[in-house]
Amino acid sequence: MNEHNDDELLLVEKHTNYIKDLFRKPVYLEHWMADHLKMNALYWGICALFLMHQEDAFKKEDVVSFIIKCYDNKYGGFGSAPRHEAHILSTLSALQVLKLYDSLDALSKEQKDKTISFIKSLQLSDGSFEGDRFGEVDTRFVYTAIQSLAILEELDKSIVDPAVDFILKCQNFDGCFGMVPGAESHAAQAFTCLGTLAICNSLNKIKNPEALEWWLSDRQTASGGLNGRPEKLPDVCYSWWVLSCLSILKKLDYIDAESLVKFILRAQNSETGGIADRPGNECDVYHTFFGMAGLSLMKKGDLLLIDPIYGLPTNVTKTIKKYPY
Amino acid sequence: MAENNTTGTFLDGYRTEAGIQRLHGTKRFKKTDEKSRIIRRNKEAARIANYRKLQDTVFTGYEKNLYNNETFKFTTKLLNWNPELYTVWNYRRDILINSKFPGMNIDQKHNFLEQELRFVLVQLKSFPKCYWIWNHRKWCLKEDLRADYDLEMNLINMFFQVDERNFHAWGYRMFIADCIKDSKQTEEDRMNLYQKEFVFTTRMIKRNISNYSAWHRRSVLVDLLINTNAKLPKIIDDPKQELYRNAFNQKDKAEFLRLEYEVFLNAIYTDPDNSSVWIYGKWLFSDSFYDDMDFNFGNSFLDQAYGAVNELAELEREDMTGKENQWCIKFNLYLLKFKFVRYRKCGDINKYPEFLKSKFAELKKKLIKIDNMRKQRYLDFSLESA
Repeated sequence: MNEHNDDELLLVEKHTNYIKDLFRKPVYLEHWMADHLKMNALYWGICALFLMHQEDAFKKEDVVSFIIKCYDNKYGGFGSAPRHEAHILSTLSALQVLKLYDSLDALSKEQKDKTISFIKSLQLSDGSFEGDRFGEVDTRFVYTAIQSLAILEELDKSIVDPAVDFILKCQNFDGCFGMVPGAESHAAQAFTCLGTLAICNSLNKIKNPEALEWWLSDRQTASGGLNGRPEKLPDVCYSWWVLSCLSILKKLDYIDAESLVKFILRAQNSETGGIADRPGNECDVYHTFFGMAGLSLMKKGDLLLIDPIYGLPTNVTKTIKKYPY
Repeated sequence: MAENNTTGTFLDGYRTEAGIQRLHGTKRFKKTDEKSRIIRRNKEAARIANYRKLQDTVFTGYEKNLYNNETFKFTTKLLNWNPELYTVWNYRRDILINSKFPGMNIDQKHNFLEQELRFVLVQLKSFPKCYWIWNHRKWCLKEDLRADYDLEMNLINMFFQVDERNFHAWGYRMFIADCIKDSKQTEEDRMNLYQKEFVFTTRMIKRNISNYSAWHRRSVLVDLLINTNAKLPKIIDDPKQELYRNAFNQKDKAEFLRLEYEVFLNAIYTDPDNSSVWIYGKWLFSDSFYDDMDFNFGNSFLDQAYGAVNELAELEREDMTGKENQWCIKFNLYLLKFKFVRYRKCGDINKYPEFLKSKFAELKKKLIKIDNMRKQRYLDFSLESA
C-alpha cells in the first residue's frame, strides 16, 4: 500500500511534479489518443499549479503559444488541441488559462472578435447554448459560454436574460438542476446552473433554495466524501461540484469539512503524486485539480483561495468586470 | 534513453502513466520499472505510428474539405479507434451532408442512416458514457424522416439492463420521447405517450425502488399528466393504472396523492435507508400538490403520513438496537415545517399547535446529534426560515 498515512498533508511537491510530467512528450498510445481533452487538462493542471503557488512551473510564453496554436481560424474559438475544431468547452479552458497568465492580449483583435461571435452564435432562441455547430445542448455549455463572455467582458442583457430563463427551467422537483429541462439532477449540473446564475447576478431567482441546500448537503456520505447523485459512490471531483455550490449559496458549513478533507488527502498517491477519484484508485489530473479546488474552498493546505463561481483564484477573478456592467 | 531525459516540445502530449481523466473507479496501477516501460513502448511503437498516420490523414482531409467515400471510410477507421475525437465526428457529418445525402430520397437516406446507427451502436456498447457518440446518434435520428423510435426505446431498455442509472440513457430516453411527442398530432396522443412513460417508471421502480433516476422521471411525468386537459385512454389491463388514469383525467391531485402515498409507504418500509424514496416523498408533501387543496383535508393527510413514518421510526429503533433512522426523522421534521407553512398561508398561524412546535425542536435536537456532519443546516432550519 502506498496510500499516504498522514491525513493532514497535501503533497505539494509531488503534485507539482506529477502535473509537470503530464505535459511532456507523449510516450504511450493512450497519450497520443488524448487530444480531445488537452485544453481542459491544461486548465486543470495549470490552475492546480497556481493554487499551489507554483505559477512559474511552466514558461508563460510556452503555454500561451500553445493556446494560440489551438485557435480555430475557420470558426473562431479554440479547439482541444492544434487542428481540432472550436468547441465551447475548450474555448472556456483556453480563455481561463490566458486569464490566469494575464495574457488575453495574446489574441489579436480579429481573433478576439471572431471568438466572441463564435460563442454568441451558439445561443439558441430558448436561451440555451450548443457546444458547437452540431447541436448538442446542455447546461454545461450555457455555463462555459457565459463564463467565456464574462472573461471577455462581453455579456449583455440580450444574452443573459434568456440564458437565465433557460437555467431556471432546469430546476427539478428535488430543488437541484439537470442538463436540460426535465433531466435528472446532478451535482455537476448544480454547479453549471448556479455558476451561470451567479455570473448573471440572478441567484435571487432560484426557487426553493432550502430544498437545494439540503439536496447538496445530503451528498456527503459516511466516508466524508461527496457523491454526485443520490445512492451513488463518493468521488473526489464532487468536492468541487458540490462545495462550489454550497459556497455560492454561502452554506459551506452544511457539510463536515474535516472528514471531507481527510477523504481527499487519502486519495493522494504519495509516490507518483496526483489525486484519484477515491482512496486506492489511479490518479488523473482532473481529480487532482478538483480535489485541490475543494481543499482551497475549505481553506486547507496553504492554497490560493479559489473563486467558487469561476473556478479560478480569487486574485484573478477580482480583475473580471462583474455583470451588470 | 531514460524517460526523464526526454525533452519534448511543451504540450506535445502526455507522459508517464499519468492520465487526464480516467473512467471513475480505475484501480491504482502496479508500479512499473524502467525496463517494463521500455518494453511497453517498443510494443506500442508500431500502433502509435499507425494511429498518428491515420489521424494526420483524416485531419488533412478535414482541413481541405475533402468529402468523399474514401475520407468517410477513414473517419470510420479512426473513430473505431478513438470515439472521443469530436472534431472527427463533426467532419463525418460534414461528409454526410455534403457528399452522401445529396441525391438520396427519403428511403435511401433512411437505409443509409440505419447503417450509421449500427456503427454508432457498436461504439456505444464499448463506450456507454461518451457524450459525442450519443450526440451523433441523436443527430442521425433528427436527419432521418423515417426514424424508427420504437427500436430506439428497445435499445434504451437494453442499456438499462446493464446500468439502470446511466445518465446518458435516461437523457436519450427523454429525447426519443420528445421526438415521438412531436410526431403526434393531438394533445391526447401526446399525453398518452407520457402515460406510457409513467407506466414505464412504475415498472422500473418495482424492479428496484432505489432507482432515483426513475423517481425523478416519474416526477416530471406526473407534473405533465396531472395538469393536462387531455383525456387519457386506457392502455393496459391494470386496475392500479386505471386508478391513476382516472386521477389524471379528473385532475384530482388528492386522489393521485392517495394512490402515490401507498407506493411511497411500501417503498420506505421495503428499504428505509434509501434516500431516493424519501426525497420523492418530500415532493409529494409540497406546494406542487397542496396549493389548492382544502386546508383541513390536507392537514389530515399530513398527519397520517407523520404517524406512519413515526411508526416506522420506532420499528427501526427496535431493529437497530436503539439506533435511529435519520431519514424518518428528517422527513417528519420537514412535514412539521410544511404544516406550519400551510397554517401561515391560511392566515391562522396562531392556531399551529404548541406541541408540534416542541416536537419540531425535539427532532431538530435529535438530528444535530445523530447527523452531526450536517448540524449547521439543522441549526438554520426553523419553522420560519424560507
